Amino acid sequence: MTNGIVSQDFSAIATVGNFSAPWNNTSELFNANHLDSASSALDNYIKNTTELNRLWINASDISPEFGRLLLLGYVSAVESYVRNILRRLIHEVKVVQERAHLQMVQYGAVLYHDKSILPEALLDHTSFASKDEICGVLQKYLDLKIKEDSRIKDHIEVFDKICQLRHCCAHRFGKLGAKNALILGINDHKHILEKPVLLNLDSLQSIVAWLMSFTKLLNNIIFQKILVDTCNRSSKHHLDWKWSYNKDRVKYSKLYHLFHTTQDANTSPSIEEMYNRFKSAKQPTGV
Amino acid sequence: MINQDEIEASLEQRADYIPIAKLVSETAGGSQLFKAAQKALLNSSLRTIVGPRGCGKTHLMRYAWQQCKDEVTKPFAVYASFNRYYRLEPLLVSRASPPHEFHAWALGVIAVATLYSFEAFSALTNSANTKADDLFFVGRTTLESLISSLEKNRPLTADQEVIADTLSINSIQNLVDTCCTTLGRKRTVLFLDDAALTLTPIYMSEILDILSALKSSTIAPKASVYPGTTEYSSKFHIGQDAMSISVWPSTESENYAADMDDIAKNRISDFEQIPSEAVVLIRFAAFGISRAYLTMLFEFKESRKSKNIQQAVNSVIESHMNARIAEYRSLGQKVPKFTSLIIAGENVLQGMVSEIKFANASSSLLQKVIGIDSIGISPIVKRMLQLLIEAGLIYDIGEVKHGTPQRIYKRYVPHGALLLRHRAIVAGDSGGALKTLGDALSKKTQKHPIRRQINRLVANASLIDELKFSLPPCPKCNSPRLSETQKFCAGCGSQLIESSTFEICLNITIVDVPGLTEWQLAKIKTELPILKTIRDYLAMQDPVSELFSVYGFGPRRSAKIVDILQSFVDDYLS
Repeated sequence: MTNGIVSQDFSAIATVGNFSAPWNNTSELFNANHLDSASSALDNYIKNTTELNRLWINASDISPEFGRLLLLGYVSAVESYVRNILRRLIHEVKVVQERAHLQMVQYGAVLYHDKSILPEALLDHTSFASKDEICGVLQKYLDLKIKEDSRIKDHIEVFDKICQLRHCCAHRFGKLGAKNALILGINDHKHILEKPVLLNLDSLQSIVAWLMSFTKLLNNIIFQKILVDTCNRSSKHHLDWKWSYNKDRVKYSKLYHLFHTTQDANTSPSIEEMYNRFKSAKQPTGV
Repeated sequence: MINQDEIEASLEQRADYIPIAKLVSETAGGSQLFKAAQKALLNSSLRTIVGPRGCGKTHLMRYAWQQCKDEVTKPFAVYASFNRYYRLEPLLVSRASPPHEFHAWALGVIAVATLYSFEAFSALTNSANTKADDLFFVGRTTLESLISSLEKNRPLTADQEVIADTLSINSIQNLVDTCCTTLGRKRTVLFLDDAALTLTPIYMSEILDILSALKSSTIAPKASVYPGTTEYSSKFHIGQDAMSISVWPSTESENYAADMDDIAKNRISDFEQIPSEAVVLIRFAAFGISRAYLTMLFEFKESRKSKNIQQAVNSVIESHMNARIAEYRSLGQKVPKFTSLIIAGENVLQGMVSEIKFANASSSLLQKVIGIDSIGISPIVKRMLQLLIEAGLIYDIGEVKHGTPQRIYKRYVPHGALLLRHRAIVAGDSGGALKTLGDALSKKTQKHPIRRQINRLVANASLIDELKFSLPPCPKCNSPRLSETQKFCAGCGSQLIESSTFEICLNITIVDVPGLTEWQLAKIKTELPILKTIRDYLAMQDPVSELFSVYGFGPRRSAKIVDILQSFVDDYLS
């Protein structure tokens, strides 16, 4: 007598278990009560990043897996900043809005999006986890050429490297792929192909601090560009600055509040102080 | 009041404010130190000129520049000062790439200085009548506006960006060499004054990189720096690339009295009339700083009108000492993380003086030197001692080996005014009669220093053993910082960034600026209410004429007030 073969399921190499439905409806997985706060894009970014910080900042050690997840989160926060600031600028600043006029959005988005959020649909198909995409979109909507800007052009290269690390974490469970290695510099990285990213407390802290400084710098550069554009008298969208705080307060305040921070440990200088700096730099002489 | 104004106008102790012709005629050129320094300034190597504030670095450089200008056989000389570097400090926190902007600023300053020097030298030898502005890719006015934009932290225009990018070490070397050959000189010495950017180590390392990069077979940069600042850049090694020349005379040197008196004779017409018993003590209290010596001698002459010699000497030395200590303490205000080092340093200094007093109480020989066992000098204690040296409160006279097994002792002399004020050089309680003090100074000196462990110099050894930087708490939630390298607050997760010292300075109210009289402050308060802080002062286009509008302020008094405010800003930020 041979041993009886009860099952002929030769695929059952793993025990699958019962599928319990992951949801009744995916819409239940989102927080419908969330209101995008009125705070600036930078403040949203700082809040998001600070929340992530609190997950590990007092830990004596973090596991490699947790480190990789955190890195994903931090880069996602930067992407979200870029999306957020562009959406607001397209919605609120005429000259930016005009550049967006010819861009296409999906019909469904037009039907169902609230008008103030509609610009997000413009950016739906874009990911901001690489330097080219960030640079491209900033040039397209803001006419800002950050690859040529000496203040940030070197930093954008570093950002791209962090994006490569993120790519390893997002798609390869942390392991270094050949394409990433090529971008990071193949000579320095060929011996660690298919080795995982290992972030300890110090390296993670350095990357996060770097990303925060980078985002704040980007914020300042965009702010400057928007202000400079308002002074360009050859543009039909230039603002008619009167160079008196009382007269310009409303106009200036709108722009200030798009960019300022109250969440950072070092809060923005007051609106009047910033206005005065703007005035002393840009007011035409003899006015 | 007017009288006081006149005295101060006649005595300008800061070399940068003295007209060049007067500077030369009033220079005492006889001392060994002076000759050695002039030689170092004119040779073809990279040199750093080291000394605390007021010991004559600017004077030496400007004097050397004038010599070069007047003698065609000497090299072409350029004098540039970096004393406004601190205006770029806020960029360190507001923009992430300030070295780029700092680099453009520093090179711009050198280029402008080169063009001005070229013009000044041209009077003597410029047969082709070449115009300075034809020698560089951009004119002086444009360069100056770039420099001014950077100092005002104004974002650069596109054109200025291009200029900032084009300014390079190479372009400066070419400019300097072109000027040099056009003038028929063989090589160039580049005097870079106030290059001790001690409060911004990032800029300091940048400027030292620039220095060593500018050095060529035809260009010899010379930089003036403060003693004890060792945060030299990784590309710059004292000893290898550059030799440092100390221009801070030691009170111990043989010629100290003669050299200091030479300077005084050149600047004070009735120097010989000042009683010698006063001169001896004031000279010792000046501690090698010629500016201090001159100021004290003038103040002595002033206070003699109402006081006897003894009282006048005491009060002059006392007030000088207080000013030195106040200046030292202000370092803690400028760089808040130094606060604990400044406090510990002051305790160590007092400890040194007490030890010296104790040693002299029962000895026929004069003791002024403390030897500190080098084993107890950790990096942070070293930094603490360097801050004392930088402020000119202790003089480093090098190492000595003692005992079996041999130990290395670092030897220091504490400030002369402090020794005098605490009667630390006289035996017993014989008090402070001028003669007793003067006799004590002329006694034979001890051969060996007092040898001590550093933590024994303070009442509580833990002050030294547990010394650490004072790190400000998180500005958002007030949680204390745990380490210097900490980047996020352990309490709330916020990013921790050092705030700008320049901003702190801007917020100082003018009431807190020393030197303005009650009457002046009251007048300003009622008639020029917009002038409340240093920020308001710096924002004024033409502060002299604004002040002039106040009833009771003449042109002279207005200028005087501006002087006081300006020197406060300069000193604070130097």
